[in-house]
Order: sequence, then structure tokens, then C-alpha cells
Amino acid sequence: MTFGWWIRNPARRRQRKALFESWVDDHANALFGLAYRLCGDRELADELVQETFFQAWKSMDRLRDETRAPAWLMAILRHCYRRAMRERARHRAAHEAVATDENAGRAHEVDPATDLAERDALQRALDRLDDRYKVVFLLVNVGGLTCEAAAAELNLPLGTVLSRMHRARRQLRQWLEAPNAQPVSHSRTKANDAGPTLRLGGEA
Amino acid sequence: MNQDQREQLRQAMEEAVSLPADHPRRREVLGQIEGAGDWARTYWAELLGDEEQRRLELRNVPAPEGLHERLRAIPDQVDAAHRRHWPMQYRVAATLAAACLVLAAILAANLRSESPSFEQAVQHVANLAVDDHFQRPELSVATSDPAHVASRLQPHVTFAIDVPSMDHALSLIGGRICKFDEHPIAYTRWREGERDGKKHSVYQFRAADFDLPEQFMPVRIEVPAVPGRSPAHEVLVWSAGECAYVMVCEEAVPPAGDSMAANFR
Repeated sequence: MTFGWWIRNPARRRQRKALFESWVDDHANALFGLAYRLCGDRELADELVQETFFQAWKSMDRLRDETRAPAWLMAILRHCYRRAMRERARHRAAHEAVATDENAGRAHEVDPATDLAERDALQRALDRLDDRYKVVFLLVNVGGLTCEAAAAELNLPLGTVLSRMHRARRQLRQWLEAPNAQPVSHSRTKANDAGPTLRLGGEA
Repeated sequence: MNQDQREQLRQAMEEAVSLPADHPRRREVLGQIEGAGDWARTYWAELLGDEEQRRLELRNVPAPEGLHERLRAIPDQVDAAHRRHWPMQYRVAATLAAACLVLAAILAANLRSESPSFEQAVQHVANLAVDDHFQRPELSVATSDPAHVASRLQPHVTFAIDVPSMDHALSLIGGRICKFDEHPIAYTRWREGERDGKKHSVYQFRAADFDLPEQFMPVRIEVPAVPGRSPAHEVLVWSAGECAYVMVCEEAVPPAGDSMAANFR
């Protein structure tokens, strides 16, 4: 079945559109919250959510079980987030290279704290959090997934998810109490932690 | 319970707090808490409170205005873009087809604009002349004076009208201006012999108007019959200088036709 088939089948399209709009009503706010907590940037979060729903509309046929829609949408969002972060890192690297060539150090004159000061303390702490912990923590606390569901979505053992939740919580608590504290060393105290491999939604 | 055991239980509590209430692992930790004393129960209660507060705080992210409307518009935007894609293909196909038609039309026009062969050109003027001759058109000037006929017709044509004086065989009756394919023609009518003699027509025109060469000897051209207009006939066609001539005799061109034609040269 191709996407064009929907257009040529108005009844089918209406049905799909109604489903899509129900997703917007039910999940858009939560997805925006998750996107914002992931990237700490409202504009980028807005773009991520729009890209998520755009991809969702185009690939609705791939979702066999509609009850999985929330997790599926979050998987698309994580995929979009990962891509956005890659692009941002590339852009930043290119920008810094130019700044170094033209006027060494000038690129750092803009104090990131000015931007950060406008965010809430919790978001500032989240921004400092390693993506491995942040994604798990947000999927459960903002996305509303159970730890088992998050483990399934991220293709991680439940123990790893619980361990990352625990570390994220402890790290956030530390930064909220002492914002200038250095990150806790993420030494592997548990054998079942998947380590530094970043899995953000390759299954999207 | 020593310090290490306490730390292990704290970690277990922090992991279990994320699990559903009926999860076996959480129930197991709850059992350990009961056996660990007040400090563990207090820590667990604080954990539960913090967890709930953190969750509420994390979820307190107001969505931007108009987000839902923008998202709801996605299907129509995507489909519109998809629809635009197809008409574009159709438009390309139509443009190519139109280009082919234009090309074909240009080729056809070029073929048509190419000069017809001498035989075709001569046949064409012969056909036109025979058709006109048998319609017995009215003369606009009736006189046997060639100079008078020439002076009356000359203002209507761009070539020099040549009306020869023939003191034998043919005598001038008059003339008029007609048109073949929108080109002006100087027409003169001649009579053979006496008053009731046979009438002959001579058509003079610019040879170039009909793609005829400027100098060729008289040729006899057979014109097929056109039902209701003209019978099968034979005419003489020739040219001299910039002008060409067609002579249509009432009957078959007499053997002396060539010499008659010579008078016009």
C-alpha cells in the first residue's frame, strides 16, 4: 500500500485523519513536554513535535497496533531528537572552526548562562544530564511509560533501565541542591548497565 | 545493618520507586524496608514524595500556542504537496506533448513553405486560369485599344502590364483585374477571327507570386475537368521577365498557340 492510495481512497483517508487528530489531542502536549525536557529549547521542541507528527502521518501504515501509538510516537520523537542533536553538533563544530580561524575565542563570548538563566532549575539540571540517563528518565517520568515499556522501547534490560533511573534521579537531586557541583562519576557499579552506548530510538 | 547495607537498600529503593506498586521487585524492596527500621521508611516516604513532585514538575511544560492547529494541518499539507507532485508530472507530459506538436507544426509549415516544383506551380496557375475562364467574368474595361486597357488596369497591379497589339488572328475585347490566391492578375480577353469567333483569355501576373521561373518557353498543360465548373482543358503557360502568362483558349489550344504566345513576349 502506498501513501498515494490514501488520497485516492477518501473514506480510508478520513478514517486515518480522524485517528491522527485523536493522537494530536491525546499526545501532542506530552510529546512537546518530552521534547522540551530532552532538548531544553522550546523552539526546537516545537520543531521536533511537528516532525514527529509529520513522520507519523506518512508512516501510519507501519503501526499495526494502535494501542502502541504513544510509544510509537515517542520512538519517532527520539529518532528526530537524535538527528537534531547530530546536526546541532555538526553545526557547532563548523561554527567553532570558523570562529577559531577568524577570531580565536570570540565564539565563546556569548555566555551560555544568559540563555540558561531563563530556564527553570530542573531543566538546567536535565541539560547537564548524560543522554543515556536523561532519555530513560524522561520516557518514564514525562512520557508515562512504565520501566518495562521503556526497557522494551530502548531494547535494554529492565535492570539497566532501573539503574539509569536511579542514577538520573540521584544526579538531578545533587545538581538541584548544589547547582555548581561536578557530575558524579558514572563508574559502573552494576554489571547490567549497558555502558556508554547511546540508544535513543533507532527502532523508530 | 551496616553502612554498605544501608547504601545498597537506598539504591534498591531508588530503583524500585519507579516500578508499579504491584511489581514483585518493588514488593520485595518494601519487605526489606519493613525490616530495616524507621530510617528506611522515612527515606522511602521522601522518595515517593520527591518522585511525585518531580514528575509533576517535569510534566509542567505548557505547549506553545497553536501547536495543535499546526499539527492538525499536517495531513492536508502533506497530501497537497503529494497532489502537486502528480499534476507536475502531468504538466511535464503536457508540455512535452505540446512541444512535439509545435515541432510537428513547424516541420509541416517548413514543408509547405518549400517552393513547389515547377510542374506543380504551372499546373496550379493553369487550374486557376481555366476555372476563371469558364466562369465568363464581366470585363471592367471593354475596348480593343491595348493602351487603354493597360492604362485602366495598371493602377491595380505592381508589374508592368503588357498588352500586345496583334493585327492578325486575335483581336482584343477588353480586360479586368482578378485575383488568383490573393495575387493580382491582369486579365485580357481576345477574340479569334470575326465577331462570333472563339474567345481566348490571357492572364498576366508576377511569376514570383506563383513560384514560377522568370523565363521559360510556353508549355501545354492539361487541366482536368471540374464537375459543374469547367471541362477538361488544355492551356499554355509561359513567362517572360518578371511576368508569367496563361492563355486559355475556348477550345483546345490551336497549333498556332505558341506563336500567339510569342506575341506577348
